[in-house]
Amino acid sequence: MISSKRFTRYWHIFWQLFQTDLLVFWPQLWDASLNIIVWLSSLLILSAYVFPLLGIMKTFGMFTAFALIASESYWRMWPTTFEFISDLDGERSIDYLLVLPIPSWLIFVENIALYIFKSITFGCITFPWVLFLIWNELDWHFFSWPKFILMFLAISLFTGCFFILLSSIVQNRKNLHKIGFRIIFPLWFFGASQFPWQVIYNKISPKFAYVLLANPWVYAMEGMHAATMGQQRFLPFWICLGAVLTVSFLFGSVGIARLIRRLDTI
Amino acid sequence: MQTELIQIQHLSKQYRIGKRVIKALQDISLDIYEAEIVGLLGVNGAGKTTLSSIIATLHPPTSGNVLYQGQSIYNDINDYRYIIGFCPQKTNLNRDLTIDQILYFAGSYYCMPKKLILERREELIAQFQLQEYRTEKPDILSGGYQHRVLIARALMHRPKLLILDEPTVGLDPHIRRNLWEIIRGLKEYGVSILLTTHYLDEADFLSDRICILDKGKIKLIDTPQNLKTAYNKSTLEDVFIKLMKEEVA
Repeated sequence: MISSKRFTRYWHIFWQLFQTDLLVFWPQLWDASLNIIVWLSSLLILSAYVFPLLGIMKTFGMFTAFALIASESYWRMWPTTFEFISDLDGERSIDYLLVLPIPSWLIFVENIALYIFKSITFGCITFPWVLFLIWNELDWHFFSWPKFILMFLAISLFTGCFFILLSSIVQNRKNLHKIGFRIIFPLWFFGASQFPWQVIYNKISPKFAYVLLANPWVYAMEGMHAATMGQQRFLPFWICLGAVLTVSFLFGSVGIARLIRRLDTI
Repeated sequence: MQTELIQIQHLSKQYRIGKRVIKALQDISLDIYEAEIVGLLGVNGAGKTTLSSIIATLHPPTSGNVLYQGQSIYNDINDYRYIIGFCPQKTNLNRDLTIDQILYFAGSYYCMPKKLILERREELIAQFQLQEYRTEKPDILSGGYQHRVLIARALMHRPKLLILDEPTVGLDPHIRRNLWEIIRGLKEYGVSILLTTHYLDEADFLSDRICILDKGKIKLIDTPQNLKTAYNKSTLEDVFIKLMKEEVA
């Protein structure tokens, strides 16, 4: 059992590490937000105003909007993992952190906490912008704030843990490229980001739909859409939330254990 | 009478690369005394960096123990980490922070009170002559100054043992000399130093005792003077070359 004095000390160091990362993050915020806004606006304008002209249902804009708000943290996994792996291949600033008077697993937990914080910050910036872009297309009838916030936080945790898992798996920068194309892309595209899972089940193949349930991103997206567009056409919200949290815990703990083994640290 | 600060007992380290097992260290035993500079010498792959990184707690040993005040450091590794300062081979400074910020956080990670951090930072900035660059980021500094910052960062919390892994590699001779003076000066403050180096003149100039590693084993430990006398050579470099020739023969 950890003593309260020790807990306070660990918490202090953890907080100082977080403060250091924030100091680095704030000057990058404007630039990063601009990138996200440009990316998000391009996709959203097409989905909300152009695709419906081609016959796609009118709610597709709203469907895409909430998928994109949640997907920002998903797409940030790749560059964040790249940065992490580059450090291991290069100057290894992590070595300095790993000899600080704090258990090494807390260093990786701090990485996850920072990831979540960034997701929330970017979420706060993108959300009003999304509303502005598709205000006329929005239907607030089924929107649930508590469910939306819960699912958004769960997704941020999931992507933070996924980033740690990826960092533990990817051997070098070259390999990350392969993992991006072979894992990150397919998981997102088949992860109910651009279609409800029910469409696959009802219109294509129930068997294929069941296979897709092995993809954790399906629960993230279905949960997000259930929270914002109503339960009727999506998987049950609470099951999705439970699945996302369970997978986050699994990915996080496996990722941290693998990183400790990989870096051969104590 | 010298007091032991760190006792290294029968330390071994094995790595596995694919199916190959590499014995990086084999049965290393060594004491480091208070306010002593121990130079670790050896050819590439002798195990110098592995040994220093185990003492720095970056990696665990496969077997053996490291004692501090008679207790295994692995009983409470995070308490032990308060007494060590580690300067790795690579200048792994946070490139997004200024020198002032790097030193400030280095103090705060060791739970130093703010007032003490600010005082200590001023002290180190003056000692390492970093006044001109304190508001700059590491990228604009020369290699020599980056090494100074690295050492200053490791000293912020007043460690009892400073582990320097090749601190002067790739630096110009006059900058190396300058760093030597700084390292020697640290001894006056009672800091013990474990110095890993390739440069024999550096080891000769700085070390109270030299530990020569070869293929993961300690080949010799003695003072530079004793080594030179025993091998009837005028420089440590000649002693080292003779030792390596003996090994080949």
